[in-house]
Parts: sequence; structure tokens; C-alpha cells
Amino acid sequence: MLVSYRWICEIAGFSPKPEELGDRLTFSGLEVDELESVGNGFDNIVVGVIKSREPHPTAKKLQCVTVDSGSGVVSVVCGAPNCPGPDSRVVLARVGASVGEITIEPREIAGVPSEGMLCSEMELDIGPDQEGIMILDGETEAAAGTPIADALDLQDWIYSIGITPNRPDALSHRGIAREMALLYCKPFDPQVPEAAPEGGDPVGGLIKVDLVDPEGCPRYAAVVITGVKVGTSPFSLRYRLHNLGVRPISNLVDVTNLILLEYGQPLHAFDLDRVADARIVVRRASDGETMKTLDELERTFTGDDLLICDGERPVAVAGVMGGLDTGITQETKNLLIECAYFNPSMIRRTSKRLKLASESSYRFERGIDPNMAGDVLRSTAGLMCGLAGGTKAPGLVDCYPVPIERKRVALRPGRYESIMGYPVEAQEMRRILEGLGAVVTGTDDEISVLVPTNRPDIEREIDLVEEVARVVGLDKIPSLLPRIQSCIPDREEYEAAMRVRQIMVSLGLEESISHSFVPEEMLVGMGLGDRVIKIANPLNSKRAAMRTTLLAGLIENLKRATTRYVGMVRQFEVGRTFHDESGELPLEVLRVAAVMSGSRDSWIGEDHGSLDFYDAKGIAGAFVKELTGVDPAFEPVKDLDYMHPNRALRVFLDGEDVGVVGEVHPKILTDQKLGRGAVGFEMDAMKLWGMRRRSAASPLHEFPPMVRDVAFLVEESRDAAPIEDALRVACAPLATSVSLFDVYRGKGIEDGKKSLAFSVLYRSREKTLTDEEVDAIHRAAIDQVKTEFGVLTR
Amino acid sequence: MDPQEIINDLQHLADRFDDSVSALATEQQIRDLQASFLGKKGEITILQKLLGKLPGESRKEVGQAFNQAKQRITTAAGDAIDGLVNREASEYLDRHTDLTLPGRAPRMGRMHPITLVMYDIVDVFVSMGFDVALGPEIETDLYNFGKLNFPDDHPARDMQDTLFIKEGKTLLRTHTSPVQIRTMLEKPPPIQIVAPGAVYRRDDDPTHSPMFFQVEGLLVDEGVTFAHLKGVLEAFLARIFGRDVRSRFRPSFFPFTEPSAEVDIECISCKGAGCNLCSGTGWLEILGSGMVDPHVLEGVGIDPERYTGFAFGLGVDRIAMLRYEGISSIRLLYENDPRFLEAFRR
Repeated sequence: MLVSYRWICEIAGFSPKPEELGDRLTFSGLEVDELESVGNGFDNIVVGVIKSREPHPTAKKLQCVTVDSGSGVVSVVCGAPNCPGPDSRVVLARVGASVGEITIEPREIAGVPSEGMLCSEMELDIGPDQEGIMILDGETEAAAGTPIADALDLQDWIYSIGITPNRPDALSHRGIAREMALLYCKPFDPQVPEAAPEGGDPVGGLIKVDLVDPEGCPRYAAVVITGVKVGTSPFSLRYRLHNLGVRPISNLVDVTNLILLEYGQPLHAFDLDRVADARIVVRRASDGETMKTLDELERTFTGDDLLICDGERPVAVAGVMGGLDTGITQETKNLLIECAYFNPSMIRRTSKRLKLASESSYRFERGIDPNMAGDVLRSTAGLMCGLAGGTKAPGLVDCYPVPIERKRVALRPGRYESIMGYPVEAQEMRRILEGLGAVVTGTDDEISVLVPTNRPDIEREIDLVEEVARVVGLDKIPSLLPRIQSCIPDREEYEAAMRVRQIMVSLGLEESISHSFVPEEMLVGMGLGDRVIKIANPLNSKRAAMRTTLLAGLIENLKRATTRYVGMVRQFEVGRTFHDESGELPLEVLRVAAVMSGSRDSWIGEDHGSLDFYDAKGIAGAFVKELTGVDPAFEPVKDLDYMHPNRALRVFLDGEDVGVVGEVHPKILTDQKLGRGAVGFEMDAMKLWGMRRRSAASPLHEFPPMVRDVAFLVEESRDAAPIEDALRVACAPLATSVSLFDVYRGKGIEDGKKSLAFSVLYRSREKTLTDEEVDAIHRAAIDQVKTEFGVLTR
Repeated sequence: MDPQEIINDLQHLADRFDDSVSALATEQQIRDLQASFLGKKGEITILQKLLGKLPGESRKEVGQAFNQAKQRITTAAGDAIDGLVNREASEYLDRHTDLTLPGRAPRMGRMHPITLVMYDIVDVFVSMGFDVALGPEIETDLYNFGKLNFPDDHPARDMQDTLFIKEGKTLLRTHTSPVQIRTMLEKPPPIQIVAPGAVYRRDDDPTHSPMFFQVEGLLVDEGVTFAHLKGVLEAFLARIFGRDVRSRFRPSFFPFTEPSAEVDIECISCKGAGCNLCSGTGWLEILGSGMVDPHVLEGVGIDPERYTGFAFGLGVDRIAMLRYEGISSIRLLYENDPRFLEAFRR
């Protein structure tokens, strides 16, 4: 909310320094986001008095005037349609002045010399008017040459204050002035405004109010003012509204806005002559009922909306916005001014439902003071009649069947200390609570507080604790370290995620954190579109589905990197995936996934080729081994929509399916318009975490190893692993390792075949083996494999 | 055969070996040459076969000559090889190497800056005795709002623009605070947890990401006061931002704590003078905190007259942006550009 320093000082009756006041407000819970000084920087802009005015000799739209600048008479060529004649006061920017971006210099306009500029409100940013220049007649009697800031009393400071939802009282200048008085230990005793002249029929004879729904509208008060004349408000009022971000419109509208800003009470002014039957009915809407609001939109209501109606139709959405038909216009003569208190929840529901928020709904939904209608209406009528003439009809309509009483809340100073860790004297607590406008009684052990109705947020003892604490200041409270009871740690998922990250990093991958929501069509394209959780109100359609796979985000990262010409991507992610199991909450699974694409690491002049399926398999296997201590098993999987049908493996550990590794299906990459291949994997991190083994070192071998090689000649379509496994079985128990060290095709090998060369390490824990022993076992093992697979050795 | 002739021949052979070996350039050549004299079919070996045919008295003398010749050749060969090795060694030491070429660096992986910062934050609290708790990212309206004292139809709900799964029922958690509720429902006080994790709001601009990270903290026990809240948070800020960091507590409002406070630190960029980072205020808002509202405690079955507690929540992204240079927009954190991710160390 924007707050005028000058105005709150006027209400509070004293004027601290603007910056210091800002700090005090901030440290009592009214956070000043910004403090802007306004009404300065008007060097060489002064009151000018017109001496003469003649039409420009050649240009029709221009006037040539001479102006008393206070330091001599200057000639100015003026293009404004409202350029006044002799003796009028205007705003003169003398040579050297800066007006917006322009610096005023002597120059010729259509052949006539001009030594200054007559300014509009807009040009000086002191009002919205740009129709013509400012004419000061009636606004100031200041002599020619008086600086404009002095003549119009422009200096002010505007605070931008972030008001939290618990402080509806601070949504007004009076509320902030009250706070200011409290913080500076001054009495709060604002001036009573002048009353309006009364005359004619009493208000009860002019209008009838029928309050049908006191639940939605606990109080409906109104006054009638007759014989007003619509006009422009004086500059000082318009300037104040302008600084507070409100556009001045007419004296009648400006007054309702001014009262809103001063008291926080939204008012609604009806043109009484357009209110059918001079009757107001406050009732619920019927389902489907419609009305055109001030913004010229047709609105449809439900039975939960509260309407203000006249004898025939709805004329306002209660507390939210008025209707088009009964609003005040340039011709309005007689006014009905509504000053109501509406049910905050209902106003909020209506405002949400209609997606229509206003200054008025904003305040009603936070809760205004229901007991200020009398003061507000007196003040409004006084101001209105002062500015627009007119007479107030005697009396006031006030439908308030069940008055809202002040609440009584107790505060124990001992309880205060046990919460804040620092005592405050009961005496000081009383002063603070009285400063809030409360009536304070009770004892020093239990203070009894009758809470003012402008503070609907204060209902419990803790609310009073907060009030005292914020006014005393949180900086008064000492800092202490607590004794923290030790506990048995229970943080499996956190530790698992951290461990997984460490291993992935040690394998040379970079961690990605991508959004948990992805395009639904991407998941569908990957064949992972089942059981997807959708967001009801997504930011856009690309972020509407909760990921069922981490690979989706990683592929999006790859796509982004590709469009940015980044060649190598090796990323992993650890995070949750979401699956609808049709419980109240979905299943969330902690997974780890990686996507890799681009060339392998190489050095100048070396080429190690591009990352391929085997890189992914290698990293996936190393990861599982490092995390669990067990080498995983792999089985081909052909039916995944997101993996290449002939280059994908399911990963198993202890017979359990723990994930998938493979080459990303080319179709997925094409769908993403990616002109490159990619490989990756995804695994269930918590499942793996649960399968960890204890690390164990085997006794070190003492005797030397003996190595024997063998190469089998096999069909191209035959896989290596079964042969390796068979060989391992065949040469057990003396062989301690069997490893494939070469796959050879080409010279010396017939087409369609390949040579698989294995190296077998024989070793005993009891003795040094002899050639004879080893050769015998090795030969027998080879024969066994040859027979089993029907292959030859090379 | 004349024994003297054999002795002379041996002399010549040994001389010839000496002559030849000096011209050889590799160890293999030297060994081959040596074999052509001393090997199975070597000239000396062949000659030696004559030894048996010599008269007994000369055998000894000739035998000695054989041994001498063999010895000479073996020694010469050994010397030649040593010379060769020494020459190679000295050549190796003299060889020019372009030391300006880059080294072969093993590839290092990296953790995401958010993870790095989150780990450090959690570590501070864990070392003070807090445990770590996590909760679901898709939450019930009840845990995300209701139990945290956000009434239905209350403007406090506007403080957090929510992404709903089923409006009014389930949603993407808007803060890590529901973990407080889950933990308090699970076990009685004393409770001492921090809860790191992803949270979501319906917001997307250069300073707001629809997904971001928070760390929530909760301490509930007998005798916990606002003074303890200040002590713990000041200790935390000193660990993360340095011992001499200045901080201040400003009263604020959160539905689930009362009294509530926001905590600012003196701007780390301008040290309070006012700059772009702090919008000229000299201070940076770093976290929200407060004493757990008695309503919240009652709602989870904890007696607020017996137990009190404090809670706090801080934005990991914000701290990452302060801790590291060059994170000009929060979006960079979630785009995962490899060039960006490479930049961050613990």
C-alpha cells in the first residue's frame, strides 16, 4: 500500500523524520519496501503571471504570451488550447529548468523567440492532466517567481508498505498514524472533521433499506446528500490521490477514494435518482442471476454471492464492484452513500469466483472495522458537501441487527516470557495494548484486554504476545543456543540420495535438477503415459504432467544443450517420479537416471569415438556395484517405447528388476527434433539402497598366477556373455577370473563370424600351479565350451 | 691342427668381434652378433669342437684361450650394450618435449549448485543435533494449508499461488512446512528436524521459478523460546555467510507461526551501502521464522502450554544465488546447461 508521509503526520499530529519513521514501521511489522521523495526537483519552475497574450503571427494553434517570471518578463510561445489571458497564474519553466527529459533553452518557435515553457500537470508528474497547461487561479495566491513546490506545497514522501494479511487495520492512513503514535509513545487523538450542513427530509423518508441477509452483511449504513454539483477536486486533493496511485476523476468519486485511503472503509456512491423505488435490498443472488458491473462486463452469480439491489434489479456486487446503471455520472445531483460491513469470507469467495478483485474487496475480505460507519459517514458527508455543495439529509440509515462487540482476551506476562525468552514489564504491556486502542484492565499476572474491532486478527493470547513483541522490538530479545535433545537419526532417503550423487559424480557425470513437470505428450510418446498425475491449473501445457521418468527432463536438457551448440552432455538426476496408484496421494519414487551424448574424452589428435550403449552400460554397472557391492545382471528388453529395441537391457539385482539401461529410442530423439543419438539409464534408487551389502575384502593371493588365452570362432549373431559364463564354470575352481579381451573380425576370419578371445587367470591359494596342471584343466574347459556351443577355437 | 693356430684364430675372432660390435646400434644386433660367435652354431662354438682332437698337453692351453676369447666377447658385448643404454638414456634426457601442450585431465563430475548449498545448510543443523525429514512433494490441502493454520477463504492463502492436482484436495506443496505437521503427528516432542526439498508455486519470471527448493526447520520441546530461535539462526547464518555477518529480525506474518519474523542479512555485495542486489536497502531477506502457533500444536495433539517450538524456512535457490557468482536469473538453475553446471564447487 502507498502511504503519504504528510498525511499520516497530519493525522497523528507530529512529524518525525521520514526515513526514521520508515525504519520504525518496518521494525514493528509494517515493512517499508520503498520510500520515495516526491514534489522536488523543480528548479527554475515557478509561478508565472501572464502579462499579455496575442495570437502567433503565422501558426494558428499557438499563442504568444509575456509572463512575469518573478525575475523579469519573458516571452513564451504556448501551444496549449487553454492558454489563459492576462493576470492568470500559470506554471512557468524558466530557461535552465528540466521538464521530464527536456532542458528549457531559449529558442524560436515558428519564427517567434520563446524563453520558457508553460507546463501541464502531466509534464511535471504531479497529476494525470495533459489536456492543457496548469492554471493556478484559485489554487495559490503566490507571487510570480515563487518556486512551484512552495506555491503548491508539493513536498511529500511516499512509503510503499507491504501489509501482511493479519493487519487489515494498516490498510488505511488512520491505521498507520495510530501505529506511528504508538511507536513514538504519543497519544492518538486525530482531529474530528467538519460536519456537513443538514436540511430537507430526514434520510428515512428518502430511502428504504431492506437488509435480507445479515449473515452476509452484518451492517448496512447509508446517508443521502442532495443537490451536489459534480466538478473537479482542488489540486491538493488530486495531488494526494495521484501520489497514492489513484486517478482523480471528479469531486464525488475523489472523496470516496480519499475516505477509503484514510479510514480503510470502502464506500459506494449511488446516483439516488437512478435507484429504482429509492430502495436498497441486500440479499443473496439467485443462481444464474446476472448484472453488468462498472467494467461493462456481464457477471453471472450463484446463491453464495451477495448483491445490493434497488427496487427492481441488482445494482452492485456487494463489497466488490458497483453496477453500471446506478453509478455516479457528470449529471448526478443526489447521492446515496453506502457504508457497509460485509462478511469477509463471502466477499473473498465472490471475488475469487468472479476473478474480480478491487481495492474494496481487498479490504472487506481482510476485515474492516465494523464500528466506524458513523465516523466515516460524518466525515464523508462533510468533505462531499464542502467540495460539491449539497446538503445532507438529516440522520443516517443504519441496519446493524447484531452489533459486533469487542473481544476480551487475557495476557499473562509470565506466558509472554516463556514464549519470547525475555520479560517485559506488565506496565509496558498495558501501555502498548492501550496504544492499539484496547481497553486494558486485570492484574499484573493476568492482563485483561478488550480488543478494538479494527483488529479482527487479535483473538488469542498469542496474538497479544505478538503485538507486545513487535512493538517492543525483536532486537531487544537476546540470542541463546537451546539444549537440543539428541535423537536417533532416521534419514534414509536423504542419505541414499546424497550417496547416489557422490557415486555419479565420481563416475564423471554432472548433476541436473529439472522441473518435475513435463509435457504430457512426451511421457505418452515414451510409453510412460499411464498413471500420470496432471496439474489442474498448469502454467502452460508444457508443464502439465508430473514426470513418471527422470529421463524426460534429461532429454529436454539435452535438447536445450543441442540448440545451444553444446556438444557433450553427461548428466544425471536424482529425484522423485510420481505415479497414480489411486490413493489420496500418488506414489513418489526416488530414482536416479542419466543421459549421455557426444564424444568420449580424448586428447589432442586422439579420437575415442562417441559415447554409445556400452558407455551407458558400463557406468550403470559400475554405479550399481559401487552402491550395493554387487554386480548387476542384465537382460535384453525389446518392448520399451523409449529405448532402442535391440540396444536396451533391464538391470537386475538379486533377481529384482531395478531399472533399464540402453540407447534412447531414435523416435524419441526425432520427436524432440534432436539430430543426435543418446544413451542413458534409469534406476530405482531406494530399491538399490535397500540391497546394499557389507563391503568385504578377500584374502590376498600368495602364489603366482598363470595366464592362458583362448579364442573361439563364433557366428556373428552369437553373444559373448553365455560363452564367457560357460568358460568360467568349466575352468572353475582354479580360475580366479575369466575376461573377454578381444572381439575380432576381418583378415583370417571368414565372413559372418567373429573371434572372441578370453584370458583366463589360474591361481591357487595352496601352492604354485604347474604348467601341466593348468594346461590339463584349460584344455578340458575349452573342449567343454566347444561341445556346448558347437564352436571352434582359433 | 696346430694349437697355436687355433689360439691365433681365437685372437682374430675376438678382434673381429670388437671391430664389428662398435658399429651396431641396437641391443638385439649385439646379441645376434654375440650369438654368431658364441651361440650353438657360432664360430667359436664350432671351433671348440676341434678341442677334443688336440693332443692332451696342448688342450689346457687352448682351452684357456677359448675361455679368454669367450670372456672377451661376452665382456665386449656387455660393454657395447651398456654403452648403447647409456647413449639412449642420455638421448632420452636430451629430447625436446613440447611442455605447452595441455595435460590429459580425467573428467570430473559435479553436483548441482542447489545440492551443494542444500547439503551445507543441512549439515549445519545436523551438526547441531537436528535430524533430516522428507515428505511427499504432492501434498494434501489439509497438510499444506489447513493444519498450518491457513483458514479456508482466508487471504493468507493468497500469499502462495498454488498448483493444484485436485483443487481443494491435493496440490504440489507450496512450502516444506507440511513436513512439520507430518513429523509432529508421527512422534511426540522433543522434535528437532530440518526438511530440505522441492516446493512449487504458480509463478514464473526471472526471479521466480515454479519449482524451487526450501529447507524447513522445526524445534519443539519444553522451554523453547524466541531467544533460542535467534540463537540458532544467527549461528546458522554465521556458518553459511561468515562469522562477521550482520543480521536483523523483522516482525512479519506467517499463518503457522506467531510471533513471526523475517530475517535479513547485511548485503554481502555492498556490505550495507546499498546496491542493485539489495535494491539499495543494504539488506537481503534470507528466511522466514517464528514460534510455532499454538493452533498448529493443538492440531497435532501437542499441548501448547507445556511445549513451545520454533520453525523457520529458507530458500535454497536464493542462498545459492548469493553464495555463487554469476547466477543472474533463477531460471539458469533449472536449465541445466552443461557450461553452467561446470562452474560450481563446494
